[in-house]
Amino acid sequence: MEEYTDKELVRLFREDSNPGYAFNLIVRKYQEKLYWHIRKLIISHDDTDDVLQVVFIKAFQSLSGFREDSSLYTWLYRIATNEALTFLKRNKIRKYLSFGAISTYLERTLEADAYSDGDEIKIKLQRAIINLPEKQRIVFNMKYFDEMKYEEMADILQTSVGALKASYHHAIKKIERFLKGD
Amino acid sequence: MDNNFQIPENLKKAGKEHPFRVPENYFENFAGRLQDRINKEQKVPAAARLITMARPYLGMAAMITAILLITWFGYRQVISDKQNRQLNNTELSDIVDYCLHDYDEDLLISTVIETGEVNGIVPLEGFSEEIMDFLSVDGIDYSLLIEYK
Repeated sequence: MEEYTDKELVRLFREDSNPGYAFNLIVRKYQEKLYWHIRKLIISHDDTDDVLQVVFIKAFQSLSGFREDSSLYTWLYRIATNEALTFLKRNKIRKYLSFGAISTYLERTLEADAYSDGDEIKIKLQRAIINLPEKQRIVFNMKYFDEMKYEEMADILQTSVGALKASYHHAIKKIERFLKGD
Repeated sequence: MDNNFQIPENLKKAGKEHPFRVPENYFENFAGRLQDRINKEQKVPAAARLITMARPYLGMAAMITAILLITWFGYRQVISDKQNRQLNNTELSDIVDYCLHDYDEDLLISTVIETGEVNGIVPLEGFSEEIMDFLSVDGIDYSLLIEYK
C-alpha cells in the first residue's frame, strides 16, 4: 500500500470523489497509535474502542474544515486526548465519584479488564501511573511509553515545553516513590 | 534535552512495556467497523438527528417549566391557605386586644352611647342596657366579647 504523507491524505480527502477511501487510509495509519494513547488513559479495552470510534467520527465530520494550522497527527492526538478526558469526566459524574476516586475506579478497571495481563511489576507501574494527577499521567504516558518529543507534546496539549518537563519530572519522582514502597 | 531525567532504579526495572492487549484481529477489523458506524449514523433521518441535537435543550426547557409550575402551585397553595384560614379564639382575642389597645372602658361606653356603634360597627339589634352594664364592669376581659358574638 502506498504510504501517503498527512498533507496528501488531507488533500485526497478533500478532492477525491470518494472521501471514504482517503479517510480509510487515515484510520489505518493512526488507529494503533491513537488506540494505545487512549487505552493508557482509560484502561478498559471496550471503553477505548468506543472512544476511538468517536474520535474518528469527529475527525471525519470536521476534516473538511481542518485548517492545517497543525499537522494531522497533532490534530488527531488532540481530539483523542480530549475525548479520553471527556469520557473520564462523564464517567466520574455518572458514577458520582468524588475527587480522587477516579484513580480507584481505574484501578478496579485494571484488575477487571479481560485484556490486561503482564507481570506484577507492570501492573504495579500502571497503578502508580493511575494515581498521578491527570496532567502528569498524560505527560508521563506520552513521554515514557511513546517517547514523544516535548515540542510535539506541547503542540498536542497546547502548553509550554517547560511545563511539560516539570510535569514529567514530578511524575517520575512520584512513580519511583510508589514503586519503592509496598 | 529530551532525556535529561535519570530514570530511577525501580522504574527502569518495570521497563517500557504496558500490560494491555487487544482482541485478535482488532486492528484489522477496526476500520470496517468504523465505516459501518459512520454509514449507520449518516442513514439516521434528519428529524431524528434534530431531536438528538435538541434533546439537551428540550430537557432544560422541561426542567424550567416544571420548576415554574411547582413554584406557581406552591405559591397559590400558600395564598389560598392564608385566605381560607379560620381564626381561632385566641387569635381573635389577640386581634381585639390589639384593636382596642388605646380604648379604655369609659371611652368604649361613651362611643357606644354617642354613636350607637362599636369601633365603626353598628351593634346588633337588641343592643340593650344589659350590654351597657356588662361593658361598664371593671376588669372586663375583652376576649369574653367573642363569647357573646
